Amino acid sequence: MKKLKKIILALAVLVLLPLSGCDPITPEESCKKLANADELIATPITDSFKFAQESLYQNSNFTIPKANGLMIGEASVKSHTDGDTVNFSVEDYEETVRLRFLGINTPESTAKIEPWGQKASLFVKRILEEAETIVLINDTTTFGERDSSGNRHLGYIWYRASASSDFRLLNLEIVEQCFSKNFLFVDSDLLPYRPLFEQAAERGEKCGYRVFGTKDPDYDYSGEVAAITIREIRDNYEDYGVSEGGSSGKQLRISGLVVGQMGDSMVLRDITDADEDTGEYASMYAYAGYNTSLASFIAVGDIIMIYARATMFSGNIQLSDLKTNTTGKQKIEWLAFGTNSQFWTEDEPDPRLSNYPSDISPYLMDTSSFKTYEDFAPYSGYVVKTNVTIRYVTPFTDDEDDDVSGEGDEYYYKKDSNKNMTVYGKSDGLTTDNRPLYMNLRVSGEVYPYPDYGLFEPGHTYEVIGYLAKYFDRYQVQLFNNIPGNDYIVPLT
Amino acid sequence: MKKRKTPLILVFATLIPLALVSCDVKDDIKYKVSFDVDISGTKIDFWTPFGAAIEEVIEDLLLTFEEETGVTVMHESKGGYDSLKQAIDLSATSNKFPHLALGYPDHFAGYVKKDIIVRLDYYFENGGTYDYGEYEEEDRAFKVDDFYEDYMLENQTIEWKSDTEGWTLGVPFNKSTEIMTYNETFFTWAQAKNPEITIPTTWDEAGVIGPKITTLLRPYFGKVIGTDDIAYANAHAANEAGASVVLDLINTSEDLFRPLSYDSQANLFITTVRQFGGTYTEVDRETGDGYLAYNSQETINGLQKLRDLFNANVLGVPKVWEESKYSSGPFKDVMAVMAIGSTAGVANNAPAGNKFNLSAAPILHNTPDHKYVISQGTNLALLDKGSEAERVAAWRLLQYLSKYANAEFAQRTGYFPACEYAENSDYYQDFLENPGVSTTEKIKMRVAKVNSEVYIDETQNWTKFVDPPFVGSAHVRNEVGTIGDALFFDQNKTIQEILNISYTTLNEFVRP
Repeated sequence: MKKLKKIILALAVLVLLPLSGCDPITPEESCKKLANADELIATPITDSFKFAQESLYQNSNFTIPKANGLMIGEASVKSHTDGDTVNFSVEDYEETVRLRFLGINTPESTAKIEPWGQKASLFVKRILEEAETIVLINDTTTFGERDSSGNRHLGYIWYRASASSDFRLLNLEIVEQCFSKNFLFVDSDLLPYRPLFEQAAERGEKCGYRVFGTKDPDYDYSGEVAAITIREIRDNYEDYGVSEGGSSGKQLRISGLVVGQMGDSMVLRDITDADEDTGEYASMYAYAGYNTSLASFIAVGDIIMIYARATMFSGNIQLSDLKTNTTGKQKIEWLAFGTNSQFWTEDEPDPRLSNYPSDISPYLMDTSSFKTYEDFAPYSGYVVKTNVTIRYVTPFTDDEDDDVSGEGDEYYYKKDSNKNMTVYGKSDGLTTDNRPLYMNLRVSGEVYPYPDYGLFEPGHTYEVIGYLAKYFDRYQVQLFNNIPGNDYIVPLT
Repeated sequence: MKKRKTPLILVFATLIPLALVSCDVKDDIKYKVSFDVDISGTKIDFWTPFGAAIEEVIEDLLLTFEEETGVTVMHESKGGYDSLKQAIDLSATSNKFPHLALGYPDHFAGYVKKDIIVRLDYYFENGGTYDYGEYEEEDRAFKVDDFYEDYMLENQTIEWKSDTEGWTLGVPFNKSTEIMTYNETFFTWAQAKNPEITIPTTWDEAGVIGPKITTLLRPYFGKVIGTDDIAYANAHAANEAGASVVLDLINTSEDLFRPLSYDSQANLFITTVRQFGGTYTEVDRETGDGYLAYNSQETINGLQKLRDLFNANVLGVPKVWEESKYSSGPFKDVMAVMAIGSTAGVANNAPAGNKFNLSAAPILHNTPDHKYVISQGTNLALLDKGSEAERVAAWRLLQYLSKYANAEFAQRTGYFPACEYAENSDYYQDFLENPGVSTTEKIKMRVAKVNSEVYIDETQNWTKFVDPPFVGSAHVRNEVGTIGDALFFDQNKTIQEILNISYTTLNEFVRP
């Protein structure tokens, strides 16, 4: 039997040998023209590279380094950030493992948008969504446990599409697919991947694929700015480079009324181009990113002009890549100061306000007649006033499918390490079989003043004002800054 | 024009570290080029370490350079200082390194060993005029003296042409230092309650003012301060009582609160050694080897001061809050109201949602005759590569970035101008006067003013220092950055024991 195994092993080595050579691709073969930007490139280096530590992961936890500095363990995706950072759950580890991929650096695709960034992000998302097993691994003696900010773990990601398939090194695949250049410059005794990364980057360099020298066809390099309305983006978003397929969006100049703020992010509402039938103005969430301090100088009620790009995030169109300076070429400008503005000190309101629709009132969303989640859709992307009843859920898990009974705060809200909070709730609507239509409240950790979860009591109903956005198959209401001061939450029962 | 001052590092450099002088087996003949060569159409590589936001600024600046010169710049970020150095080290044998790169002096020391860095003395002497763009005629001369000595000297104390003079291996580009940001909203409120609560300038003052701050805040920990000075359970309660929130302390408690935090434990140690009269490291003039010099009574005095402030719950370090490197998170949660950290990172202290206002002050010092603050940031270096036209094109880009585009780079990134031309330019002066209205823009301006009006004003008697590099100096810096762990979190050890352990760990750097 042992002899047979040896023969099989030898045959396997012989079969695999041609694939694992140092230069498996000739320039002529490798530099074929890609049919389109999404065409996947052959990945012989990734295909042939074996996971040497495969036998270790099942009995290990990624968050606990071994004596030799190796960290290894299984993980599942919690949420995606971009092409080189993903949030994972690891068993028996309460916090999210925010993993920065080693050896790569994909173009930006969140607060800032760069060519190929959206496509890199989408590539990683698709792979990990379809993965059957995901294993994280790091050699902490070489790379350290976390990045320079101290907030992100570092690691490689091995994944397999099914239990019967081989593990593949995602970081390497990203380089070989030319969504990142090689950023692995040091050798590791435990994980000696560097030569492979260099080899993987060689073809990209030779052929100029993607980040190595091809223009992203869905990125607007022109520098031209389209001055358009939010309604125009919503109605014709594909014309402005917005798609689920990794488009990066065109440069836009938006003029709008600030109707709500979450930390430094905000919701902008059109000041022209009202719906011909309803007279309503369209609105959109504008993601500010970190350290922009937008809320230190923009107030609810201001009418501003701001430069941005529109992107698709979790099925919602939003404004990203905001230009947040008040000086320079693409600066924020005020068309009129709202009554809350620190820059307007007169007794009478800014007279320019009368030139615009400056009413920040929400749209009433009466859910009592709703039968399905589709009924929420027309209100998605608007600031709404609606009723929510706080409900119990299963504590300490993400299972929110059923109302449960329980005691204690943890049964109706959850916070992550960034203080982002979900308060579980339901609308007034019922399905045809009398099941509740769930509608949670989402509170960004950056909302200020932070709404203590003690504002809510399970079983009680509140009238809330917030921004309705799609979240997977359902909808949630994102709450704003200054909740107490603006009566954003009013107890009804 | 501001006067240039003679920093202590000049004296230091002259007296001690004639590093690598014995390695000099070449002169600068091999680097000679004709500056008349046509560079239009030339393509050069330029590697940088920055993240996306700063790279965007670099890209904008390069566009102008390309238009002015006809040179094409293949710019690439290596995603960090370490990875940039690693990438150049790796490419040294294959000649794949770029024509121009940014780096620290210890990086350059490594490039000298690899023989891939270009001495710039010939370039300054023979190619020192920049004839592109629309600059005033008197500004076209490009001289060593254009740059602040504090910044220039670290590029001239790496490889030596004589006992007293070093080769120029780099030109300053992005410069930063340490600064104390503080919660202006808190101090405005506090000073109305207790005028003795001012912004401290010395460690001793911090020891007096810190406890007063904690005492004043004691009723408010875990609550919010209302505009009526009442402690409310949360913003909702304040609002119901007709008050609004001055400051939100819900996320802190007295146990977690330290009035002052200090981010970099390596900088804290190295700066303290200097401020208390000690010496950190020395470099042997004959061999270029570096040695530890901090096991001294002066160092013990400085560390004792820090330990006392820590034990009095005045001084905090990131580990107090279970943070690994920075205290910006606790600062934004008002677990500290003053934070000493890199000027390059001040924007990280700006809270979201208009939580409080920020301002900036010099870091704390010990005595008026020992005002030291560390100088950080990188320099531009030409690497030994390419045709004559490529070398001249890279030199032109070096000139452009370090002088002519430096004001815009500094204004947009928060780094400091490397030269007086940039500092005094209309562009930069306008920024100091009209910085914009956001917290981020305003704090950058305030930091710039601390630099302009305090750190580089010779009447204020501050010295920006950089320790001379040697092989292993980065390793020594990393190791002394762990001294704080023992100093603050292992109180059973005496300071002398801690220093002895440090010397044992770094025994290869102990002078025989």
